[in-house]
Order: sequence, then C-alpha cells, then structure tokens
Amino acid sequence: MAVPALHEYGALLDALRGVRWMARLRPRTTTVGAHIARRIGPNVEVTEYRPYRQGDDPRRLDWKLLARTDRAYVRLAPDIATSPTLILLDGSASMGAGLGGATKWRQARMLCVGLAAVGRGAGDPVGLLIALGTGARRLAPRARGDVVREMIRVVDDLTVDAAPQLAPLLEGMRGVERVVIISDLLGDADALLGRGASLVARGAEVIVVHLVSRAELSLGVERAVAVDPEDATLRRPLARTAHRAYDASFGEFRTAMRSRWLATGARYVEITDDQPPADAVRTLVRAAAGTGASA
Amino acid sequence: MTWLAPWALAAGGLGLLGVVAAHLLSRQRPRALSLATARFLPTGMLEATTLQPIPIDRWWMLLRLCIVALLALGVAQPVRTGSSVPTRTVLLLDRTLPLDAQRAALAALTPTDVVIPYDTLAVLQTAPAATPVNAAPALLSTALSRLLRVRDSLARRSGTMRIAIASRFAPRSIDPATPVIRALIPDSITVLPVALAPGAPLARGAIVVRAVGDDPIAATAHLLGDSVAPLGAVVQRGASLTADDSLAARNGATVVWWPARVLAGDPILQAITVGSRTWIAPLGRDGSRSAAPLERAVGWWADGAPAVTMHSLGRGCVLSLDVSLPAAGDQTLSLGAQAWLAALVTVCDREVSGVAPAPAWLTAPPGGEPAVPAAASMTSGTAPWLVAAALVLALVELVLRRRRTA
Repeated sequence: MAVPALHEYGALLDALRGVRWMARLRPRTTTVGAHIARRIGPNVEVTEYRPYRQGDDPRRLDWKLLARTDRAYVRLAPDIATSPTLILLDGSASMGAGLGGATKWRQARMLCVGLAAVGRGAGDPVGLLIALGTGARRLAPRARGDVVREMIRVVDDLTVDAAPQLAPLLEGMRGVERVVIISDLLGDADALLGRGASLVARGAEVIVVHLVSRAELSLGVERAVAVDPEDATLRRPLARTAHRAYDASFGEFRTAMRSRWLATGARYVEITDDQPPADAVRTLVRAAAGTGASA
Repeated sequence: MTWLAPWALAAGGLGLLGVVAAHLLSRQRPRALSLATARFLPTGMLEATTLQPIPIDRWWMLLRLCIVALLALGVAQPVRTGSSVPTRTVLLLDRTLPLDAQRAALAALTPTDVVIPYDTLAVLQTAPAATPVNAAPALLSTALSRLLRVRDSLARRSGTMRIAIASRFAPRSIDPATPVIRALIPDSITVLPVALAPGAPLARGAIVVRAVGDDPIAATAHLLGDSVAPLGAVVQRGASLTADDSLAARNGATVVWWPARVLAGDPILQAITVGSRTWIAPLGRDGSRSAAPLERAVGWWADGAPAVTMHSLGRGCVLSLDVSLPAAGDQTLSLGAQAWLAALVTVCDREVSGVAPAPAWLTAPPGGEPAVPAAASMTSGTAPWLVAAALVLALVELVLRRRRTA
C-alpha cells in the first residue's frame, strides 16, 4: 500500500500555509476562535445597542450612556468562535484497491492531513474518525499543536480492509460544527446520505469529498475479470464492450450522488486521485466556504 | 516385457488423448483485477472456451501426459521377461534318442531352461548340466511324474512356461499309467521334431561276423545273405566287445554279442523266441552272465527266462546272448535257425530306428486352457514405483498450479 513519504506531507503543509478555511455557517461554540460566531456577545467592536432587559448581564450595560441619557442600554457585538471540525475517513477495502493501486487511499490521507492542517491553522479543534473493518479509530477534535502530527502517525499505520459502515459513526456527535466525509461512497452511501442530511438539519456544515480514481473513470484494461474488493463474489467481465455501459452507469452514480448530497444542503466535491493534494485541499476549502463551486 | 493388465494400456492411451484434447480447448480465464467500481460493469460470461490449433500450456500438458502415462503403465503392471523372469522351457528328453538328436533338442535351450532327461528314471537338470546319455528303456510316465512334481515351482519362477518333449515315442515307453499322469498336467506339451541322421558306415544289409576259425554262426550269416538287417549288423563271437563294435552300434548297426562257447555235457533241446521266431535246437544256457540294469530282454527261453538282452547304444543297439552251441552239428544251418537269426538282427531296427507319432492325448491339455496360467501368480515389481512416480508428479503439478494461481 502506498504510504506518502514524510517529505510529501511537509511539502503539502508548506503549500497550504496561509490558506484560510472559513466556516460557511456561524459556529455556535463559545470558544474564541477565528470564525464569526452565531452568538452575539460583549465584544469590543460594538455593532448595536439594545435596551436592557431583565436578565441581561449588568456588566454589559453601557454605563456612560446610562449616565448621559438615564436610559439603560446594553452593548451588542458579534462574537468570534472556533469551528470544531471532524474528518470522517473511509477505510474500506475499496479505498485501497483499484486499477491504479491504492491511490485513492493515498489521496484520502493527504486530504485528511491537509484539511487538518488548514483547520488547525485557524485555531479550530480538528478530530479524526476512521472507519475500518476492525472497528473505528477516533481522534477527538483538539486544538493542540501536535494534532496534525498525530494524525499523520495514525493514518500511516492503518491498513484498509473489509467494508465498514460509515453512517453509524456519525451518530451522537456533539459539539462538531464541521464534518468532512472523505469516501468513495461505494459503501453504505444511502445511509451515509441520510445521516449527513440529519447533521445538516442540525446546523452542522457537511462537506462530502467523493474520491474517484482516474483509472475508474477511464477503464483501459481488456480481457480481465473485475472483482469487487469488498465482495469477492461480485465478478464482472472487464471487456472493451463493457466500457461504454460502465461509463454510463458510473457517471450516473456520481451524478446521483452529487445531486442528492447537494439537495441535503451539504457541500459535495469530487476529487480524483491524480489531483495534486494541495490543489485538492484548496478546492475543498473554497467549496466548503461557499466561495468556490461545488464540483 | 509383458503386461499383467494390458487393458490399462488402452485406457492410458485414451487418457493421453484426453489430455491433449483438453489442452486444445483453450479455456480463456482472464486475470482477476480488483476494481472498486466493479458493480457498475454489466454482467456477462467470465470464461470462454475455444478450440486452438496447437495445444496451449505445453509444459503443463507434458507434465500431465507423464502423469497419465506413468499411471497407466503402473496399472498395467509390466513384467520383464528377460533374464530375471524368463519364459522357461521344460524339455522332456528321451535319453534313448541318438546323441545327435539329443544335442539338436538341447541346442535351442537357454541356460534358464530346464531339462528332464528320462529313461527309467527321470531327473531334473538345468540345461547346461544335461548330459545326453543313452539308456534304455525310456518310460514317459517317469518323465511326466517328475514334471508334475516340479511344475508348480517352475511356474512361480517363470513368466510363461512352455513344455516340450523330444522322444521317439516307442510303444514300449508308454505304459498304462502315462495317460493318467498326463491328465494331471494342465499344460499343453509341444512335440519337438526328432530327426535321425542317416550315415551308417556299414554297407546296408551286410552282416559282419567277427569270429575265429569255422564259426557256425558265420556260416548261417553267410546263408542269410545281404539286406537282412536294414542298418547292418555285426555278430561278435569274441569274449568281449571291441571298439569297432561300439562304433558300429552307435552308427545304427545291430551288434550281436554272442560269445563262442561250446555246450558242455549232453545237449538238451531248447527253444529261444525272438520276436515271432522261435529256434528249437539243442542249445545250452550258460547263465554265467548277469544282465546289466539298463538291459532288457528281447528273447526268451521256453520257460520265460531271458535269453537275449538288449541295450541301446547310439543309434543302434547291442544284443547279448547267453547261449552256447553244441560242438558239432548243423543246427545253425537249418531254415529255422536262419529265420531266427534274421529276426534277431532286426530286433534293434524295430526298437531303435523308428520314431512313432506322438499320441494326441499327450500334446493337448486335458481341459483346454490351463486352469491356472503361469502368469496369474506373478507380480510386477515395477508397478508400485510407476504408480508412486505418477502420484508424486500429480502432487508436484498440484503445488505448482496452486503457486501459480496464488
């Protein structure tokens, strides 16, 4: 299995220096961060005044205004907060197999590290959730300085296998404002879609990274039998005559995935395994922030 | 080389053809590739079978051909019929045959063959040790009895066993027990042709009398003239036989050893019968000479006592008479004496020179084919090794195929 060398991670992190990943939705957290929070708080930059109501914090009263006008007003200003981010990484066998080798899994790890670095650069807690056949591997969202290094260590030690379910891992999540799903969507796509829609409805920001191998987009092999890595009984002839039907079917699947995820309010980005990781991360950041088109 | 189960060779041939035919059928089994999006491919046939002009996977085919061939050879159970397990000939040799006839019968034998020379006593000898010795008479029943005793042990040590006989089949050599003993032997018996070579040094029909002085028998022989004895005759009136007499007998002549003794005392009228002739004359019985073990009587006194004995020697025979003649008289010149002497010198011709046809019950097996063929009790020592080699190759093929597909 292809493991990115450490210098490749370094090059990626260097290339992503200065990239800002702004939250598209205002976070509801109270931790001071880089994103404009949904909550209005006692910030130094006053945006408006509101008459004091019973129950308001007396410390937020504008005492000078009260002294001049004998009217009790409180100062209001938008708060800034962090946006806790969770990256859900698909560790199924289909991510590690393919005509071009384990390039999808390699790209997934690069994206994971790159997004974590960008999020950590904004002071956001970043967590990792990896679905594996042997069970899930979790790294709770943290804002420590070594969280990216720890992620690199974790993803490099993993081996993809089996066909784990992704949707159950998204249940019961609290305090996460952004969820990035990196997957080829060949597993429990429908269940994952439903769970993602639920998260969007709860106000979370969901970014779906649909990883596609370039070899899967254009089959070039003839006279072979294609075997599903997650289901050995699924064997199909890989003949030239089947390419057209394959292209149509696979294209229809990707189109359906895109439209269905967009319909939920999530961000959907299709990334190929031959795309430079830094460019792919920038594309993802732009699409997530709403400044770039969802592919 | 012979096969205990030759049908396995035919089955093996079919198996070889099947292997070649299977390798002519190209079963295209494409390589398997892991493709995560395999589910989007349309379903279809994963394998296709086509007929190729030349065999595919020729090394595999060669290996499988070796397996099938070794297995077929092993099941066929080859048995070597060379020096270790020979096709053995058992020759029943009539020792009364002339030396050259015996040598001719022995010439075709190999060192592994077995000879049962027989006369009145049959012994088992290997072929090189069989020394042809003339003796008389030859009883076929003794040879068959001996063969019956050794037949099973010989069959166990032989690939196939062939029984042959070289004999003159003289009527007196077949006693009433012979057919009974023959019926106990299940094999067929091949009769070897016996050629009696001509070539008597004596003139045909001449009677040579070796006597001293005026011998009455010499006069009688003179009266008989020539052509009485077909192969010639010698009448030795001396006290012992000479080397010339033995040579004449071996060349087919009838040697009559009749010592010239004079009847002592008063002559008594006696009768001696030889064949169908009886000579009645005043004769004397000497009685001093005892018959040798291999001699048999061919002439008798009136009371049944043997008067003339015979033993075979070469192609001829030697007749010994124990009869003394009166000192004076012309009894030997009578017609009866002449006819008796003529019958005497032809006894050996009747007994020795003829080769009778073999009786039909002797050659054919009593119950058709042998009940227990000699090969049925054999085992092939090579067969287990061949089968083991085939199994080892099959194991190698299995391991290689698994390693290839892994």
